Amino acid sequence: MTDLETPIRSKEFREGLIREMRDLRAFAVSLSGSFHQADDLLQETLLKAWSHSASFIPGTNLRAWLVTILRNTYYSQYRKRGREVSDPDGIYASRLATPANQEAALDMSDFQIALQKLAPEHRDVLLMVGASGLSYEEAAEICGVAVGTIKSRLNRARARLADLLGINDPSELGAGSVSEAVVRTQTSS
Amino acid sequence: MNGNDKMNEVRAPDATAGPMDEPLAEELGDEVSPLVVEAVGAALQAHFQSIADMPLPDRLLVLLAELEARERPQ
Repeated sequence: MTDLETPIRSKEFREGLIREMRDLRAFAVSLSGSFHQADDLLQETLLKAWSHSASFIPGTNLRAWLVTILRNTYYSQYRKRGREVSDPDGIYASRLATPANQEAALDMSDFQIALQKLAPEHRDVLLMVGASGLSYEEAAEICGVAVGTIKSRLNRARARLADLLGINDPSELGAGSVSEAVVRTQTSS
Repeated sequence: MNGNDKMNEVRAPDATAGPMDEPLAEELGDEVSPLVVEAVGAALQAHFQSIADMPLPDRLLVLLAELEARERPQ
């Protein structure tokens, strides 16, 4: 498609895209564990979204549509790098001495490091539902699995993350301690 | 064609989709306590928001501006 054939994007689409950029970047950083890779992903997602804007139906969930593009771009790159391994329990990830991007790793919080130790299919469900606010049904559609599988992955992701962050003892999580646990995970990098 | 079909037009094959449903957590007896769910959720939201609050890098803003500049008037 040439520039002359490029359809005019609606104002709503452009504004929606701009509005979603920051959250989409947070999703990309959390998914990839690297600011540099996240920005590459975001750039490619932006270009794809722009060129495929005609396939977005106004009134449907733009965030879910963008997450679909970004996530598929990420896994496509992941496969190309030949790093995809079957690691449902995060065993391989937990043995990684350092993430691929050393520079970004220096700035990682304990929380980001824990996220990277989750199995990929658990991490992105956690990010889609727990952080981006997508519904179970939207996440199931994006992943191509049943809603029950999404719930199961989400549960496992939460359990593993809690274990990694040391916040898995309900007896220690009384009133007020949830916020303390959050502060602890955010400041102990 | 509905919205989901449209979404699929730009979808690459899913690297994580399994051929079968996974057992539900309650079937495995490993449900996470509500307090832990709350704590993990709050930590996740705080982490996510801390990144979302950062300014976008210039290269993305430049790209957006270039894409918008390429739009021909209707």
